[in-house]
Amino acid sequence: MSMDRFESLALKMAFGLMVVFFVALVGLAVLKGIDVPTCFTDFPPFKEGKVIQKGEKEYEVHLLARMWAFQPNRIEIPVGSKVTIYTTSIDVQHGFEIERKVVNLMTIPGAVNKMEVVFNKPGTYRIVCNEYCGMGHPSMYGEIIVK
Amino acid sequence: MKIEGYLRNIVLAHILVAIASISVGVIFGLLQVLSRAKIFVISNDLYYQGLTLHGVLNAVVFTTFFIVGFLYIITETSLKEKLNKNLVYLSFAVMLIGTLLAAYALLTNQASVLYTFYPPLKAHPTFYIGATLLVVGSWIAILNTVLTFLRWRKKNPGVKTPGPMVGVITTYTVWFLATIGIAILALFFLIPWSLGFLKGINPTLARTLFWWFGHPLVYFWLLPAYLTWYYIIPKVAGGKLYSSLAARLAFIMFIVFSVPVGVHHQYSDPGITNIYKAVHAFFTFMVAIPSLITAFTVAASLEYAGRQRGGNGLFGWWLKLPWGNYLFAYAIAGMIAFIFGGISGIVNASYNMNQVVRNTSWIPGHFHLTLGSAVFPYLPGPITISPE
Repeated sequence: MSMDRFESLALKMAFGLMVVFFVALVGLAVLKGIDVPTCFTDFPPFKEGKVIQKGEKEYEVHLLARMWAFQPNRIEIPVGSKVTIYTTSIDVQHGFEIERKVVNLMTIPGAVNKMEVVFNKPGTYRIVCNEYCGMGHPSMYGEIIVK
Repeated sequence: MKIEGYLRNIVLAHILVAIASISVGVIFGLLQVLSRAKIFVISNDLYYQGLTLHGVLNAVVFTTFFIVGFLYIITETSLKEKLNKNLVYLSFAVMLIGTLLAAYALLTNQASVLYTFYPPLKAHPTFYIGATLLVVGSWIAILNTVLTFLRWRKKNPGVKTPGPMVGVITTYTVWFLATIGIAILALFFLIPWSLGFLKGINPTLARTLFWWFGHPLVYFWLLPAYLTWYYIIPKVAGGKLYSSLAARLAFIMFIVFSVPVGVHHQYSDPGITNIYKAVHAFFTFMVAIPSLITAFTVAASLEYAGRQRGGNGLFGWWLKLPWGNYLFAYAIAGMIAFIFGGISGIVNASYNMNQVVRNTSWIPGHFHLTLGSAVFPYLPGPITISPE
C-alpha cells in the first residue's frame, strides 16, 4: 500500500510547517529570552506580600494572591523600572495577569512563579486574577501605577 | 445504517441522556452570556454553579454518552458482530448512576469548582465519585467493544480491520489512556481528600494529572467526528474516501501524539521546567499533522464526489454537493468551524506566545469552536438511526 503522491506532499508540508513554527518559537526563547516560566527551588513560598527597592529603578515584588485580593494591592513605581515579580498563593489557585503587559502566570500554593518586566510607559496597569478561585473571583484586582 | 432490537433502544437512551444534558448545559451557557453582556445579570453564585454545570454537562456527560452510543452502532455495523447485551446495559447503568450522583452535587450548589476542579477548591464527595463512575461505565463499554472485536478477529483471521472499526479502536484507546490520569487523581487524591482521609493535595500534581486526562479528552470528542468525516460523509456526498491509508495513518498518529501534550495547559505554571513545556509544545504541533492530513483527504473526497455529480471547474464541484442533505450540511458546517478551532489551537500551543492569550476569552473561543464543530456531525445522530 503506497501513499498517494499529493497526499504524501500534503503530509510533508504539514510536518514542515509545524517544525518551522516550533523552531521559530524556541529560537525566540533562546535568542531573545522570551520564555515561559521555569521551575526553581531556591525561593521558598512566602506568606506576606511586599515591594523591595533593589536599586534606582529596580524593584523586587513579592506578590501574594489570596481569596480575593492581591497583596500588595497597589504598587507605585517610577517610569523605566525593572521589576522582578515573585508570586505565590496561600489558599487556592489563582491567576496573575498584568493588562497590556505580557505577564500571565499561574499562582499555585506551595510553589513560586517568577517573571521580569520593564515598565517604560506611565499609566495604571491593572492586575487581574484570571483563574477561577471561588465566588469573589470577578472582583479580584490589583494595580501597578507607573509615574 | 439500520439498527434494530434492544440496541436501537439503548443507543437512543444514550443519545437522549446526551441531548438532555447538553440542553441543560446550553441554558446555563445562555444565562452566562446574557449576564456578561449586562442584559440579565445573575449572582456570582448562580454564575459559577451554572458555569460548572455548563462545562461538566456539555464537555463530559454529553460527549461520553453520545460517543459510547454512537460507537456501539459503528462497531456492530462495521464488524457485523453482536455486542454483549448485558455489558451494554451494565455500562449504561453505571454511567447514569455516576451522572446522577454528580448532578446532585452540582444542582445543590455543592460543587461549584468548574469543569477543571483544581484543588484546593473542594467539591462534595458525590461529585468526584459520580465523575469516576461515569468513567468506569465507559470502561465497561470499552471492554465490551474489545471482546466483540476479538470474537470477530477469531472468526475472520487475516482479514483487514474495517476502517470505521480502526476509528472506534483509536477513539477508545485515546480515551482509556486519558482516563488513567483522571482515575489516579480521583481514586488516590480527590475522593479520599473530599471524604476527609487526606489532609491536602499537591496542586501542581493535581493539575498535571488533570491535564493528562484533559487534553486527550478533546481527541475523544474529535475522533468520532473524524470517523464521520472519513467514512460517512464521502458516501453521503456520493463519492468515496480519497485514500484509506491517510485515515488509518491519521488515527495512529492521534494515539501516539495525543498522550504527551497535557503540559501545554501548564505553560505558565511554576514547578515545571521549561524543557518539559517545550517537549509538550513539540508534540502538540505534531498532533496537528493528522488534522492537516484529514483536511486534505476529506477535501479531496468531497471534490471527487462533486465531480462525480457533474461539477467541474476549480470550484464548480463545490456547488454540486448534496447541500439539501441535513447530515451532509451539518458535517460541513462543523468542518468549517473546526478550521478556525484548529488555527486558534496552534496559537495556543505556541509555547511562549501562549502568554498573550492564556486564560483570556480567546480560550473559550477556541474550545467552543473545536468542541462545537465536533457537535455538528453528532447532532444528526438520533435522526440517522430512527426508522425511515
